[in-house]
Formats: sequence, structure tokens, C-alpha cells
Amino acid sequence: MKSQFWAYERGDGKVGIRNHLAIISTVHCSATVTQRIADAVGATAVIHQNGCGQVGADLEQTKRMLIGMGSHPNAGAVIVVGLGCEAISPEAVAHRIQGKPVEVLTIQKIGGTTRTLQQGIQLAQRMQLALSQQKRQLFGMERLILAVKCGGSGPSSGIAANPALGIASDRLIRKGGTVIIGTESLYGCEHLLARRAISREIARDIVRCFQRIEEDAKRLGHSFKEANPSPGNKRAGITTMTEKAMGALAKAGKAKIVGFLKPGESPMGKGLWIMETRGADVGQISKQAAGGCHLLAFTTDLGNPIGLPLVPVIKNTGNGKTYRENIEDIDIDTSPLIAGAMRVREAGEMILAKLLDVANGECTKVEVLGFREFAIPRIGSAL
Amino acid sequence: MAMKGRFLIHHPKDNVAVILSESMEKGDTIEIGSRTIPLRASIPFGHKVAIREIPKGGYAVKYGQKIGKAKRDIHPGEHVHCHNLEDVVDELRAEALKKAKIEIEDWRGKAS
Repeated sequence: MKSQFWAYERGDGKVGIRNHLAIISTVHCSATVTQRIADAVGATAVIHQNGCGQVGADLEQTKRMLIGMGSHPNAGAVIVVGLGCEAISPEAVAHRIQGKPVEVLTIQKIGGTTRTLQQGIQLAQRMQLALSQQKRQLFGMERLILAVKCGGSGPSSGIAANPALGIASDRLIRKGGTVIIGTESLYGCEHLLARRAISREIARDIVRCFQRIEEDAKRLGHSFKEANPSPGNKRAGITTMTEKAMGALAKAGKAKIVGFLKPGESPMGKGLWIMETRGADVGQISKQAAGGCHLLAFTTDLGNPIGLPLVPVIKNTGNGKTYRENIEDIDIDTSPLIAGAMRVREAGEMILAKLLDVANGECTKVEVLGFREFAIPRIGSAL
Repeated sequence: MAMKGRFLIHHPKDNVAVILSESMEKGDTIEIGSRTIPLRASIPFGHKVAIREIPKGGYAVKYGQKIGKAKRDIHPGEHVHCHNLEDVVDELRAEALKKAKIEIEDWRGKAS
């Protein structure tokens, strides 16, 4: 099994498996200008609905995620596009992005959208040309950061797709790599996560995170227990919350948890990290992307087409019918596990080999289709 | 004729197996090593079958972890689901955290 991959070296010591020009809007007001500059030169827009009318933890999270996307190793250069009067200034974001060319465009300073577009497209073209001259170099697998996620889950997820991904995750960690799992879908097994943590402090952070989620649900007059497992889960044979959560946790294998990350925070070392990823699917994977994962491995039973800007998303299903019907969105079929035609270790090796191919530049299905969802979940309400 | 079904045992400690055959009828069997366990009910794909005795108040173990508590005695070959297995997530959480000596506020906001 090969254990090296070709990647772009960055000035801050990171390596990127893609060489995107990222064009990031600091506020929703500059989103369309951002998108049009990106479209004109084949760059990658990172747009969202936040950036103003936010305070406290909510504002901090948006800022952290935007800086995270700008600092992303798969972005070789960045243009930050702001309006000028928003809460998160484009300079404040740009100054925190290290090791690559970063430019700022502010619509109110330049004097209107037409001038900003003209200036932006000229600038973006020069930056794209410079990026295209960079060459890949050979690096060891220990440099790779993988995010794992399940969505549109069903009966096959906990049997095939997740355990197979778990094998790949464990292998990558044994090679010295890094994996990020989100807290989503793990309600009901936080005690087991806590016991896998390498220190009591990390265990406490994990349990407190789940406590806060349950307290917030209570404040809204609801409980996770009333809806979990769902009627669909029960039809699929899932009896308890812990059982459901264990099926989801299987995608991160058996490694110890070395740290707890805020949404969009980058891992500070190797091994398995858990990130608070409250929100719906797109918000969850956006948080993992902002944390700097090179690749995101996504398991599904029912099928799911979402992708990300900057980060190739690799889909894996254990449901053979879903694979056949959604072949344009799904990269790996782990249903032979259920049919008894493949062992889970072989499926894990197959996934790891695919991850390395994608790291080397092979495109994923949704990457080719250009599916690039990005969202920053809110904390509390807008002011 | 009784069918021999395909199944999955996630972890050696598990006392339940997951049915992988499309659907299995009462009287169909699963073979674990030299043991043959006849199913006591029909069990659909993805659902659980007991492969050992789980006494009332004992735990069903899947993925090597306790997932719920038996509401009554469950015998090998029985379908294990909501009718005979209770969700005791709060109890499992408290027990596991105590064992790991992780002192945290409990879920009602009091210090444990």
C-alpha cells in the first residue's frame, strides 16, 4: 500500500491537495460580487449569510470559520471581499491568513460593485495564473487531515459504510495522520467518547458540549429523547439512542480522542479530534472544512449530494440500490460487505486507497459536478 | 425448509447479532461456530437477534458496548427491539462516567 501523496507546499508549513484560489465574502452583502469574481476565473467562492448583526460567540464563530477557510491548506491564494461597514472587517480576516498571497477588496472603498468586479477579476486572473505554475511535491501520509461525517443514514450505515470508514480512519491515524469527527449524531454515546479521551479535561469538554446541546433543547421545550431513535430508525432495527450513536461513531474507528475542537478550529496535533458541529449537514461539514481537513469522507444510506468549497467530499454507501441510483454522486460502494462478498478490512483498505488517490488529485464525483455548499450555523438569534 | 441466514456480530463481547439476510422467518437458523440458533420470530434485515441469554435487567451488548436493558428475559433466537429492550441512556452515561472517574455536573445541573 502506498503511503505518500503529491501535494502543494504552503509557506506556513502545511500542504494542500488542491490549489484553489479562494474568494471569501466577509458578509452576505458582498456574496454576489464574490461569486461573480470566482465564476469569471474558475476560482472557488466561499459565501454565506453572516458577517453582520452578530455579537459574542456567534460573531466569533463566523470570524473563526472565515479565517479557517482562508487559512485552508487547499487554498493556495485568497481574496477577501467585503462591503466595508460590516461587523467582520475584511482586513481583520486577511491579517490572520498566513503563508500565501492574500488580497482585500472592499466595495465601499473601491466605489461600487462594477469597479470591484473589474478590479477583482483582473486581480483574480493574475493570482490564478501564478497558482497554476506551482508544482506538487511528495509528502508522507502523516501530513493528511481527514474529516468523517455521516448523513442520510439508514440501516446499512452502522453495518457497512461507517465501520469500513472506521478502519480507514484507524489506518490513517496509525500512519501518523489526523482525523476530525463532529459531535453530530453522537448524542447517547458521549460517555463512551469521554472514556476514549486521553485526558480528563478533554473528557469533560466532550460531556459538557453534549450537556449544552441538551440544555438548549430543553429551553426550547424539547428533548433529544423524544425524537430519538426516530420512527425510521426503529423500522431499520435501531432500538436505543446509544445504539444509534454507536453506529455513527463507528466511522471514526477505535482510536483515542486527543482533543476537543471549537467549530472551525484546526487540530493542534496528530490523531483523532472531536469538533463541536451543531447544525444541519451543510453547517456541520462547513465547520469541519474550516478546521482545515484536506478531505471529507461522507457515508450515507439514503444518498446525499452535498459537497464543499476547497474540500473534496468522498461519498461511500453500504446500500447497493442507493449506489446504483445515485452513481453520479457516490464514489465508493461498500454494499458487498452486507452481501458477504467483502470483509470490512478490505473495504477499509479500499476507502484508504481512494482517499490517497483523491489526495493526489483524482476528483470525487461531487467535485466534478461543482457541488460546493457552505453554511455557518448561527448561535442564538440575529440582532 | 429452514434457511441458514447471514448475520454480523460487531464485537466479540456482543450478545446480539445483526441480521444481514433480506428477511428471516421463524425457524430459520443462524450458525455461530458449532452452535445453531433457531429464530423464535421473523426478523427483518438490520434488526437484532439475541445470541445469548439476556436475563431481565441485564444489558444488550452491541459494538462491545451496553446499548439497553432487557425488560424481560430474552432467549437466544429472539428478536431484540423496543418490545423487550429499554433505552437507559442516562443510566449508562452515569455509570460509565463514574467508572472513568469523570466528575461532571449531571444532566439536571447539579454537581455529582
